[in-house]
Amino acid sequence: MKRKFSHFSLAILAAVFLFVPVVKADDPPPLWLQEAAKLTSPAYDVKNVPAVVLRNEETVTIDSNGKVVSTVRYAIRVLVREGREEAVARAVYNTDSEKIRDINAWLIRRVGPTKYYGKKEVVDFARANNDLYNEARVKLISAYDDATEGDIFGYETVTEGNTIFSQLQFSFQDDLPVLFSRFNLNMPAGWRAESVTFNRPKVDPGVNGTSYSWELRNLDPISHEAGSPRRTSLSPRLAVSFFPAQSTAPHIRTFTNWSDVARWMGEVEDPQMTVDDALAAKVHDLVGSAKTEFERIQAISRYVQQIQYISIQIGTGKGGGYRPHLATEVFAKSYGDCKDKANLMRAMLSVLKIPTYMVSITADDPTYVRAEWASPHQFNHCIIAVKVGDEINSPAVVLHPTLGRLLIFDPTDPYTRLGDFPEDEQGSLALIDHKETVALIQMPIMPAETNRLERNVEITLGQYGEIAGKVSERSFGQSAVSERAMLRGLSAAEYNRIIETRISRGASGAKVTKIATSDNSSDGNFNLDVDFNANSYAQIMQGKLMVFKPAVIGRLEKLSFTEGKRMHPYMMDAKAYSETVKVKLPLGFAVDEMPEPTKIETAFGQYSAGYEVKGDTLIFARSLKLNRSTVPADKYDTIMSFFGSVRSAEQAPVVLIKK
Amino acid sequence: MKSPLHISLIAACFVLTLFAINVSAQDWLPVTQDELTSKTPEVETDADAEAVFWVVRVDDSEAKFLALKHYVRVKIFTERGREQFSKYDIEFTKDTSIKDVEARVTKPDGTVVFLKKEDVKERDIVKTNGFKLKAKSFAMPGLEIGAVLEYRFKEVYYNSAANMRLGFQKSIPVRTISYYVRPFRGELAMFYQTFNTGARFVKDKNAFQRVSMAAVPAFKEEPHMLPADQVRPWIYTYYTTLEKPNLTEYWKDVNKRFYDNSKDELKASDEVKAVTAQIINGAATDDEKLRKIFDYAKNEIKNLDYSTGVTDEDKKKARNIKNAGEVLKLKMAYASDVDVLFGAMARAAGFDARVALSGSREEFFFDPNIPHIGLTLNSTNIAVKVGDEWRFFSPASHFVSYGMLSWQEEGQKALVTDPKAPVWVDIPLTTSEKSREKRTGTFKLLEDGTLEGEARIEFSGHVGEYHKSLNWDDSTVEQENKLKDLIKQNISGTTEVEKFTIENASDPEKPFVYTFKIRVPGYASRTGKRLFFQPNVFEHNSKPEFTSSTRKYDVYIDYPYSSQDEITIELPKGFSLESPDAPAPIKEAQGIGSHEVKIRVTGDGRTLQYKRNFSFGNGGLIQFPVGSYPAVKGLFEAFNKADVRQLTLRQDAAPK
Repeated sequence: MKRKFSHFSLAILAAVFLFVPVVKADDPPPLWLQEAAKLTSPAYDVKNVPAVVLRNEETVTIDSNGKVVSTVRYAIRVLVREGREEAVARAVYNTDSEKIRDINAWLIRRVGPTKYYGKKEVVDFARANNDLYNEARVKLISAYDDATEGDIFGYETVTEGNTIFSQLQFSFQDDLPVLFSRFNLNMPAGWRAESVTFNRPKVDPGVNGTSYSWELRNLDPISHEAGSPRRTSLSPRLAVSFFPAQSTAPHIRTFTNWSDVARWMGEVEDPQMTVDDALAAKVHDLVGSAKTEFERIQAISRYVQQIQYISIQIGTGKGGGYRPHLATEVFAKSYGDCKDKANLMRAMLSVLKIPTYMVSITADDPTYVRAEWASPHQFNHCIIAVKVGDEINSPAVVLHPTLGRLLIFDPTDPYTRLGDFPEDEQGSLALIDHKETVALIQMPIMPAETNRLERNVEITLGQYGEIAGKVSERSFGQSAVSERAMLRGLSAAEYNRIIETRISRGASGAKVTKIATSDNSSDGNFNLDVDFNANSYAQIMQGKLMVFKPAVIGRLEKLSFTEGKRMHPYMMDAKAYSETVKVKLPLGFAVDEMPEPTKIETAFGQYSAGYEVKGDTLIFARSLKLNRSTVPADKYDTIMSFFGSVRSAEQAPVVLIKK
Repeated sequence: MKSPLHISLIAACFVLTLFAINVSAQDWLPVTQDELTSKTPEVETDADAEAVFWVVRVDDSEAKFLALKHYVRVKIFTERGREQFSKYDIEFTKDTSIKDVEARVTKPDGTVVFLKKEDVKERDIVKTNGFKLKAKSFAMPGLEIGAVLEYRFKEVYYNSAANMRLGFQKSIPVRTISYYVRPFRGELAMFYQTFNTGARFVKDKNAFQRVSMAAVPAFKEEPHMLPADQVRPWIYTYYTTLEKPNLTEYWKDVNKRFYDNSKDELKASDEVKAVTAQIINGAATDDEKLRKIFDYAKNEIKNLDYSTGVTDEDKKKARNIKNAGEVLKLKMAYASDVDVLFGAMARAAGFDARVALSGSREEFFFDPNIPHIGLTLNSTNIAVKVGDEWRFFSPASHFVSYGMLSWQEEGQKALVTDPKAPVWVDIPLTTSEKSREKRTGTFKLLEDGTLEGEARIEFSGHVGEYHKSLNWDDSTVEQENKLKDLIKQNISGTTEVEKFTIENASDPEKPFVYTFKIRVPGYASRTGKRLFFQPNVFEHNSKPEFTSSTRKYDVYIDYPYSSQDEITIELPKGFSLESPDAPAPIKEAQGIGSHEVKIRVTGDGRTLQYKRNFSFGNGGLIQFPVGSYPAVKGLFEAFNKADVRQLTLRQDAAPK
């Protein structure tokens, strides 16, 4: 869970009391919905389009006091049964600054009477139920049980609130096709607005005085494909900044560039970096035996990482989502959210006179944040940058034009060690929340070598096809993170079961006799050693042949490729593995046939597999290296070919023959 | 008179317990040095956290409310344990209040951090028309590995009585768990029923009764196990008349009430009689008559539980149905009323048809030794006397074939209601050959290892019911996705599905059928002069059913089942089969499981014919004691080994 900055702060602000007519159950659907229902939708190339959006419109009206009324009109046509899931009205609001003034929905049936949904059908629930406290809530009406193919579902919501921000976002589309999508902004006289369009050529607004309107029509569906960019990087989105006439709304915060945003973030965050005697004493206790700068930072990082992640979001509509709790308070309670953790780490490092900066970023999508819209609304997560000297040599260090060498670290990720960086944040643009910042900075990208697995397997093959083996795995970087997360996230029994399953997937019926793990706290590596045996690994054929696959575990077996024409690029993270398998051959058997060696080289990766016999031992070696890449959709066949060849190589058997 | 309340303490995320010593509102029991310094759990050595004690005091002595006081102490051993206990939500509804929430953490060095009142947050989790679920939430301050945490709070239920479940097995092991119960003294008396435990209430101070268990391990689910309520220890407390329940009298009373209630429902009105007479016209035997009535109830009455696009008006009408005649008139009903119509028509046809009560093997078994219908009754169906036998029917289960019940209802006791006394009858299990997956395929193996061809899979019986339930409500596109997932999961992720059909997805009787044409690149592996391939295409990705080396609970499968494969593979030119020997038949002594493969090659050596017959659960044996786990595991490994057995093709020598 991350800091809750609203990604779609569309409605999210304000409070102006406008007259909203009361809807009665037996009233016909509103005209706009009746009109939308008349629209016809084309046939789409993409299979399995569950519904089409007939209208997606939001109108935001702002007054000079920062009060905002947002009206959403949305209508879909259910195309197939699964489209029922789309027949849902949702209105998100923050209890501290907003209220849903009205929510009404209608189901215009293809066959049968229209059904109206009002207050009685509204379910109001906490948007982030895992947070200890969060003011974000959702009002929802579902027509799932009633809707079927051909039905039209539409809803209208009115949200009122106050805002201190001057920025709004609107998604023209999620993944469904859209026939008509529009965002309207009405402002007081003298105000102006600027917009940025993401994932689509710029959409220019229609302007009438201080009323703006951005519109797109006939948007094709966005298909889901494995390895494709996130939907937020594919669907057209609009970001709007509005600027009050100077004298009318001084309480509304405007941002014209990243420097503005960084300065404001710093103003919100910096006062929270408090230190008291207890905190300082803890710092000195933690770094007691540390000799180098890296070791000192590492000692603090480990402490902050193990602080429990607990999120309490209060005052989010007024910027509270950006303000960490006091570092001394977080230290005393031993829990906090991402910004609390980053702030605590800053406070602790300040005791050691190590300069640090808060870093605003978006987690889980490295392509979400764009340089062309200076706004805190682009971020939902907070990490830390530590100013370090030249002696710290790590791929997690980035060079800032004015602040110098910065070691980037995410203390919310409990498994990624200092010097490494979470995969889903690598390469993302992020903001150093400091007054000297003038632009976003790209987060580090870790090379494949830092995210790797080394495996050594020693096997003794018996005369009846039975094996006894030892597997020794050394994981590094993000590979170690996966292993560590599994060990920590599962009970001991569950973990053992997973390892047993992993072994027995390769060697059917394997009995695991030893599982030993060690998590190397100094270099962040993770080691796993497993002993096992299996009664019948190799298959005896014709009483004289013995056939087995030397890639005993972790061989690539299941592949799933996009069917038909690939629509989106394929994104690949950097990783590597290498493995050596030594198979002691059974007495009286010799190698009759071995697969041909394999060597594949592409722009995005390399793979090799080879076989060698030394005395009574067969040595099988394989290695894979994938570079962080974005392979264009029209080159998708190279991906299929690459992994298809890897799979064939790893499935290939060796044949022994009785001498 | 108090209204009944069923409180699931087992499922509650914030669970309860009690300690043998009275605790005042202010004072915490001292944490011992042993508790602080202990490094390893006492009950289960690999536990992440362990409850030192878990105490719940249930005070039902007041007429207007029921109070539960919880006091729990937990020792944290690992980071996962710390994570697990870092945050608490005490959920409650509008007729409940949560009071006196307190917590403290004693760190390994003895320092104590108390939860501040202002750090207990109250929030609405969900609100809807007339319902509100709230929570009091807090995070445990200063929690760290080695610490001992404690929390306590009071739940007050207004106008409720202690008809409740007391669960002993939690998500963590517990050294001592105790429930103290002080019942209400009124017109009714409190009794209790134990499940999977020998624990019993004993008298305690101040009119409380106490029940305790010690060294209770954590509950962990395993694949293919009995429902949780059949294995976990728990007690159900309830109020009933002042006399201790007598099993015979209890069931006699239940039987009478259900029988009397069903009289009107199953009454064969003139219209029911007329329609029945028309339907069974020409049927010669009892079975033919019942079959016709069964088919009518299934096919001519719209079962709203299996229908799409049902209007509010239809729902309202169906909800108000009071007897079989109204079902017939409306030609639609919810599932249970479809059974009612069947029963009434059977009576109209001259059969003795009764309502039968039973449980669900998926949740909790129907047990005549448990005098509590509210706990055990999970289903009803219609029993019909045919000759000297009671046969069971339920056209309400739309995808269950004639002569069967849903698997959850089969294989347990049923109470057939009777005007005099309850009749207990065992509902038989459907045999393995009726729940069958029949797979046929005609394939061609190419020289480069690609496999292509056509296949057909038929699912019948309970297997068919499963696939229909999964597909009936889907669009054809979604059905196609499920088929492709199945193929990719069972054959290969690279399988290209070129053509397919799905038959009888919503047909109540016919087998569910897939037909498809596939192409699987890389199906066979090439090594020098040989090509290796698995003749059982449908089991290409098959893995052993059980992988864990240890087992805690009995192995339990839902129902007996079988599969039958017939595969023909045309072999590539220029290759010859090397000794295509079939795996030896597998059949354990009792015949519970059976696996047989036959391989034949046509005279020209160009075509391989593969036949496989597999069944499991034969003789109705579907539960296996935990002690037999190694044998069951080994048996399934042997099945798997036979299924994935490969054959070799050797490249013919090039002509000189």
